Amino acid sequence: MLIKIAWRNIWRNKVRSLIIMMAVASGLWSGFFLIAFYNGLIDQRIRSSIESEISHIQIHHPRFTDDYEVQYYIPSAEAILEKIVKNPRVKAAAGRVVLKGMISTTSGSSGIQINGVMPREENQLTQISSRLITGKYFPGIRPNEMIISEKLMKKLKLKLNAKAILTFQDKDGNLASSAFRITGIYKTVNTPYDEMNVFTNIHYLDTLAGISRQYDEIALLLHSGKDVETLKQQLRREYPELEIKSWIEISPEMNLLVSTSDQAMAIYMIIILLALAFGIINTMLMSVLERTREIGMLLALGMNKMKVFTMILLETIFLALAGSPIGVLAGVGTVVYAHRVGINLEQFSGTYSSFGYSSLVYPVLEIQQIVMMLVMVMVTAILASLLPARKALGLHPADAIRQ
Amino acid sequence: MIEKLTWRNLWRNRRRTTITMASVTFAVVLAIVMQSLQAGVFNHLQKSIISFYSGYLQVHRKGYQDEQIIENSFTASDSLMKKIAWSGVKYMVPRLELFALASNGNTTRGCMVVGTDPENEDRLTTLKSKIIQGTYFTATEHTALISEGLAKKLNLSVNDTLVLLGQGYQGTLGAGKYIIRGVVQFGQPKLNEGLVYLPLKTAQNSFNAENILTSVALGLDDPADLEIIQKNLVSNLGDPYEVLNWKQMMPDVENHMKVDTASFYVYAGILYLVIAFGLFGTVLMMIAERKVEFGMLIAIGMKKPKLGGMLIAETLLISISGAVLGMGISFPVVWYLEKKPIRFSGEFAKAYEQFGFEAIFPAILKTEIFISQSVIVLVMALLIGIYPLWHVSRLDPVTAMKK
Repeated sequence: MLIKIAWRNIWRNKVRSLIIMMAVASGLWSGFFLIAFYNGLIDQRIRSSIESEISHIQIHHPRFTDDYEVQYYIPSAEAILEKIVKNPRVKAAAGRVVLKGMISTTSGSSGIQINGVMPREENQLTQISSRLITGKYFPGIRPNEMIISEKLMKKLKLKLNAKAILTFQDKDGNLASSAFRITGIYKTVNTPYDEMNVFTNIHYLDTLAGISRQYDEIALLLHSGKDVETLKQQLRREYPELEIKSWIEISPEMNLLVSTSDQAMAIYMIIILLALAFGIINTMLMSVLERTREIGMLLALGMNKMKVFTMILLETIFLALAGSPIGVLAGVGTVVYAHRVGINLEQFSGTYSSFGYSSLVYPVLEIQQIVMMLVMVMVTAILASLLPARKALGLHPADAIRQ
Repeated sequence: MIEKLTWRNLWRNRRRTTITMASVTFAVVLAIVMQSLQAGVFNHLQKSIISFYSGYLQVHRKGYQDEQIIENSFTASDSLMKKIAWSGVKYMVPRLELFALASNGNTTRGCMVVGTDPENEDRLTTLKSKIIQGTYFTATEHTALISEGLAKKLNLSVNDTLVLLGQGYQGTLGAGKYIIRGVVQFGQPKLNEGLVYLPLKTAQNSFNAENILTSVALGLDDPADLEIIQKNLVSNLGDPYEVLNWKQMMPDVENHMKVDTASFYVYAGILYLVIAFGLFGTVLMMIAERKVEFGMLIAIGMKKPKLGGMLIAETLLISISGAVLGMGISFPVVWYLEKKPIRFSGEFAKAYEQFGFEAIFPAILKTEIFISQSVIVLVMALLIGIYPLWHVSRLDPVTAMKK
């Protein structure tokens, strides 16, 4: 009987029912979007600040980072890399030969870091090709191809396709030098970095450095930033003789920035969820306020107070149930769309996306977050209706009807 | 007459008035708290970042940023220092920075030597708090502070002798022996692995750079004045100098913070949307509830524009008092969050403590925020208040009064 009354009440006042449904639906919709945006933002941060520069995990010989001496290369590096690539958590991995050396031309010379990279794998890792302003990313015609920065090019008065000599110490401490041809020019926002770094093909540089088919650095990118710590521990157990560091250890200042914003955004999210709950509560309060007379009438007719209370509760549950599929559909739809096209923060932020810094945010939702949001909004709506329903219990039928 | 009617309407149904007012109040409180937190966190982060090393602004000889060698330096004259001491500049830290070899016995490592004014350096970058062994130094001593990583590599500790050897000013050879007064620890591996601090005079003597500086780092009274002060300094100092702010010196950090600001806009947008939904729900309910009343007023001959005027007056009164009340409630909340900021523990705190910072989220009390947020919510409330007007304009008294 109560269910029937509640059902009829809903249809009797369609405007009111629609408003409550809308409150629930819009609450869900903004909640979904909010959480998805938050997830996407965390991803974006890691992607832009960490992936493109240091990757998630780096592996070295424990003495290598002291002075970048080639003799401290990673023993049996190829086998290690092969095994790491097979790990399902790993998205991309590449070996490098990193040497401190000098670049010289007829118009001068400059101290640099020579990065011997595996062209295909490295590009998956750090996307150097997206930072090229002219030329090609390792076309693979000659072995001695080299990519330098615009900054270095200007400093040494070089040109695309020009040659420059790289000099460095090989494994045995002898000076080695060789001519490299510039096939590409890159530029990042970080001028000091640009001035210091050139890229060559590892398969040529390793022989020159006397460590043919060996690497002195292996960098890893994972599918999910959450796995970094687990995988690091696992690798440390597997290769106790190597130095394995996560991006947090390599660049704690980035970690500081990332975690500050993650925490701040979490606080903002709580504030918005509060506003959401309050909006729903207000709408519910208003809706019961409107019904004082009606409830008084029911009481006067002899309806039990407990039954009135249950009736209001039932109505709310029906309406919340009816509103939630709309909210879920709209919310998930928006997130899916936003995920496909990405939200570009560039126009607000003026970041230098052209040099490989991406300010695109791709919102993502996890199933448990959808469920959590759904439960939260439903509970808020029902709790919000409890207070006015309880108020209705205290009504004096005679007073209520008179209003 | 209308004023009287409006006034009575507000008091007639106090609960309705309270609920509508509360929805505005709550919206204002949340918007203000969120903005104040954002501004505070941003300030705190900025303060932390500039105390890594850079300060808010640095004055160099033009070209030093691109080529950081001791020849790109300038003479520290009184007139120059007076020009730099622009109003709003709180601390000036004169520095002489150069690269040198640090050695102990047979071990030698490259390092950056920073000659600085001990007192002001501590005020700007809280160097004293970074000491983990020994004590701080004073301006007149022939002593050094050494970074923890470098000390470990050279196997040095407090009261040992450190030998520095490097190219001094104008190609001379600079060298010196220094007693280590303290060991300092930095969060960033780059700084921790190779930094030696000397008192400015000592450094200038050792490297034959009498009265020569490579940079003056500046602390500001109010970081909000950064751009203005920078502009003034640039025009005041003229061509031989360059003035860079911390964003220009750390473009990757700036990029990150720009994205942060932009994503905050998105959050603020979602908050406003949620607030608008809440307000709209409340207003819709109000209309549904008062349908009969409006119909009655029109039926007894009230002109629709007059009824509209009455509704606008009601909305204005409720919104403004709600906004004022909201500001009143926000004040102690923001004040409290400024004095007793939200503290964090766990992973996040670790990221902060590594740098010797407090893991806090302070809010900031700013009149602009209070006013701007209240105005935004008020405008939203008034825009939403247009809807009842439109509704009344098409109201048919007969159907409206039919229950």
